[in-house]
Amino acid sequence: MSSGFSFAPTKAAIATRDNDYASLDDADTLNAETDTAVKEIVIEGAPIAHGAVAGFLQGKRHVGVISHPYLDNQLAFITSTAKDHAPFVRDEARVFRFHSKGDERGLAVEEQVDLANDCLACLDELAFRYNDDPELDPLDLARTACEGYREAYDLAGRRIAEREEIIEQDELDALSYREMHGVLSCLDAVYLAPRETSLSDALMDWVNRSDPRPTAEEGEEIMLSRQPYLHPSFWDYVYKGIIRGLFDMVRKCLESSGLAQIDMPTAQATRDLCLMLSSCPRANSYVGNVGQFSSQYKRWRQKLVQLSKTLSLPDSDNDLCFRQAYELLRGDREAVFRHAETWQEALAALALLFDPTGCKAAKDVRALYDIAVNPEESELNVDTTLASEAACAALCAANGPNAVKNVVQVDELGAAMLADLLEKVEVLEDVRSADLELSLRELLLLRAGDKLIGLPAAWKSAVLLWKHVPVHGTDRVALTLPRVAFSSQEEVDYALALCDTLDMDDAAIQIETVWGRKLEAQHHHYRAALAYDRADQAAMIDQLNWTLFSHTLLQGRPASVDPELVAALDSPAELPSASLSVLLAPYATLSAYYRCKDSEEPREAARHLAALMKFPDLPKRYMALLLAESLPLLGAPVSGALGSGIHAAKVAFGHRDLFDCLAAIEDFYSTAPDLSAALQTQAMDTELRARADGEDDDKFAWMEAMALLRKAITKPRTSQSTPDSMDDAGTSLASKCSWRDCIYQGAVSHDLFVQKTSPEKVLQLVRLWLARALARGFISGDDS
Amino acid sequence: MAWTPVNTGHEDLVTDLAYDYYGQRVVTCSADRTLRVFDIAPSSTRSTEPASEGTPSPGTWTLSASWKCADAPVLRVSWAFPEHGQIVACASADRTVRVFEEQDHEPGCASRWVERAKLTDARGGVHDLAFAPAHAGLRLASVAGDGVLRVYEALEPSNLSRWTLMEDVGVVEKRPLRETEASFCLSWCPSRFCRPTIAVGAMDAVKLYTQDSAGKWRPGPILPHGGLVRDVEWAPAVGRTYHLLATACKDGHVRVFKLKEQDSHPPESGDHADDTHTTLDNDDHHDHADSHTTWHADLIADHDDHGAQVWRVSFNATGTVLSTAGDDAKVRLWKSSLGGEIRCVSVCSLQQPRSRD
Repeated sequence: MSSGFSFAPTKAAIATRDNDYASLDDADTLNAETDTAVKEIVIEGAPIAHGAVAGFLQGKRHVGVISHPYLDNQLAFITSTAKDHAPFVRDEARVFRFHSKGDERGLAVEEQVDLANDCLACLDELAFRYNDDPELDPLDLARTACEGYREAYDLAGRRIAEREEIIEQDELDALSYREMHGVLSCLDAVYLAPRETSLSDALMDWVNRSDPRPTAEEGEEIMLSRQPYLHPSFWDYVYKGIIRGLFDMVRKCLESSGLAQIDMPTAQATRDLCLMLSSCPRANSYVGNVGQFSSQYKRWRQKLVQLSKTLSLPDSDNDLCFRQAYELLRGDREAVFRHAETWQEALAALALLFDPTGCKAAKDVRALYDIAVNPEESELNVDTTLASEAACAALCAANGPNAVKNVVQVDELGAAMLADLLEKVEVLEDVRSADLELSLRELLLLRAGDKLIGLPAAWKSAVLLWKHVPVHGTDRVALTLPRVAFSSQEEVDYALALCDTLDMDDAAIQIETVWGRKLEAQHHHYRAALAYDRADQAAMIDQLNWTLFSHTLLQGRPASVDPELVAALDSPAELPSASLSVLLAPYATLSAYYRCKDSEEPREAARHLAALMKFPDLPKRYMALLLAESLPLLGAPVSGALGSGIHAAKVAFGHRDLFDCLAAIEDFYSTAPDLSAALQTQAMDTELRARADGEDDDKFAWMEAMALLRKAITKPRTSQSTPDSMDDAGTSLASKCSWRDCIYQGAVSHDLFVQKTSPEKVLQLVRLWLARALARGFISGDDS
Repeated sequence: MAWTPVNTGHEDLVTDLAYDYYGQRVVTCSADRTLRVFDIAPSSTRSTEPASEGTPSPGTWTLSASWKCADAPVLRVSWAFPEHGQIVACASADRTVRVFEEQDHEPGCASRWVERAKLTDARGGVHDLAFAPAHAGLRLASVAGDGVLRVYEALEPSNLSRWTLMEDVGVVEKRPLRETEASFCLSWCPSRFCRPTIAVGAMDAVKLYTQDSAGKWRPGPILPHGGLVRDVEWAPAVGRTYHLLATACKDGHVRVFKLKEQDSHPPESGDHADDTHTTLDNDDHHDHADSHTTWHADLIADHDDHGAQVWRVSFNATGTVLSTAGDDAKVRLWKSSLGGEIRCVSVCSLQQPRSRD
């Protein structure tokens, strides 16, 4: 950006910043007071009329507040703890939303985040190269980064200008970006110039970019007049051009000014001056070779002195004007101060004209700065109410901490970047907070991150900033990252990679676990299990397994229709961990049982069912339902495909399986506390609730088992339910051998039971058919 | 996003509200004995796709559920950490703490909340409650008007109907008389690096209780105040070697204490505890060899900017911004300066400005 810079922000901008950063200390001491008032913001929809606070309190009301977990959002509400408070008014049930800046937050939030990301890219690159290759010159690295920051601020300003809708605060933000650009240019000029190079041109470049003078409009007005040299502002324009180092422009003005037409001596003087202007050696042409620049400059200056001595024009006014031009070119301090309007202009002019060969380092700039603002020599002062100007002054005065402190008031992110650059080139003293053992750079990076995290959807930028501060920064990342409500696997993977980089195992576990819960709620059971597995949450995989198991048993078909889970369970060897396959085995076996049943493979189905009944860790509450499931496989008459009638089935269990299951079945029966008591079905719910009061676990398991069985056989059956609903017990259309239908229809009961049966009667029926199957097998001698 | 007030629809005063862990949901409780859960449409700086029809604009609150949850005004509400599911607990003047869990539901459908537990140990209205930090398991602390701090734990996080009362500790010498104004509040120490600790605002003092290695809750320092302690909040520890605890007090002061912990062991006979700090471990019987934590407290900020009673204190997730609400009908935001000094950076008023007419 080449124009539009100004040293004079609007007063509104100053007022705003005073409020924003009222808490900042003088960085020299980090504890000095800042005497600024805090502006009061009225919350939108404020309910208390002006002057009515006393009445509000008399009504025994007060205000409550809570903060958003990480955004800069607060909620306030009206409440009371008194029993005798004034009657409630409907409006008092409102909640008031606000943020710390009230209406002083611009609309260009996206641009702020983009700026942060652009700066972060430079910061990361700088940190990487600085740490990765000690051979690289930090000065070169810092210069490259600084250029990147300047481009980022330039771009941010342009992005705001291109917005369709902006408010005053956005304009103030854009102004801040321009000021930040100016400060970075100052830093570049004073501290980041290549070694063995005069800083004169760099300083002049900073001043000209920040505050371009003389303006093009002035030039046009003067040079388009009939006799430009007669224009009352002609020579001021020339002098301004000289102290701004715009020698080419000045030369062209002189050549087309009409001076050459006055008389021969004036024409010669004009030619001489133009020659001197065009032949002046500039530091820009001697980068890294200050010695050669010095010798060239000395020769040029000798010639300049000679010419000024021999100057003699007929017109005394013209003579005086030419002499003043030579004085300026010679770097006469008085002449510089006479024509300079700001200390920056004077400083740059002194560097360019007074001591261009001696101005090679920050200490030399400081010496010139001291001259420029020396009240004995000039009347130029630093306007300390303008933070960016004060920051530049501090940079020129070699006071890094003070510069950073002032930049905080311009842009907190910029201050962090500035502190980082200054630290890299070893300019910033090791100012440490005694309290937190943090350097100024670290403190500012943390605060910049704190500010960013308050913006919507800026968490990535904030955590990347914090990442640059060991311990404190990573702690912040660990605290806030798990609070981000991730909406995609990509975001989660990004966060997990960050956790991995920063060794934040606990945060990673938290993120994975919560993400797993979210996936589970969305019925992505396989990916949920994977997330739990990565988080080492065996208990949650176990819980997922038994939840699916329970729903499956209740509804008589696999509860999960997640194709990924179905595919994974088909090939357990390919699961990413052994624990995952072990923990999901019960559900996998039950699913396999139903699949075999559906594909009319009764022997395979029976094998799976037997495996489940024999499973030592099977929660007993599922035993009753598994036993009921065995009915069709024990040869009990069952319904075929829905509506196809009742038919008798063959015993599908092998004899050995039946004997093996007996032990498990008897173990389950042994937990029945008192069958007659349990038959008091209406008391079951109460008893279930009584568990918390210390009921015996076995008795409770029995009761739970009975309750599940009852749920399975009594729930109304409908074909309208959605196929993936996990809570619709008994909605299977696929069950080819539905004992539930038979129980429900009373068909399986023969004449033992009435149609309206109970879980206990179902179990008795199972025992009966089990005994028949065993007896039949025993008699036939079939031990298959 | 819009910043207009949100009408919660409660039939009586809102007594408390709480953001969920992500700040995407808010639960409100009220003297009308109900809880209401609102979903907040996420704010994004940029939208990559045009909002589909019916999608609420960013920041919009949508009522997700509302149900009667107590037999008397509900005083406080708290969300559990999301690892355990969508769980809220509320404290009521009916002397109960109730735990509710949200059932799985299809997106777009009204959510269903099921009462999982009703804890009825308190002998007075329950003033405050809070879930423990995630690393401490599924625990819940409550403090009631009977002056007792109760710590419950769901030993099986998958079974929310079973809460075990792990400890009940009297936090005042005598239960406040019925006609006396009572004030109790609590906050868990969020740090995973120290033993579980709860700061309890008990009438006109804040008391710290720390669980020792044997599981017993031991009293720690007492932080005296100039009036009833209205609220207490522990700041998240971010890289600090110390903790920050903020209190709101009836005497109009916002106080911030700097707390440092150190493990101590039973003293040898003749040893005396260090007495240079505010109040030290005042458990004077070390009857077993378990180590426990001693807290050192320093008052680092004491501001009476509200000029009137202060009711609430609230830290953000990084502990860098403290919000306080007072009887001046203003909310003040406080930040730590570069030098560590806590200063007011913003004042937000619920009082309308003077009319220009």
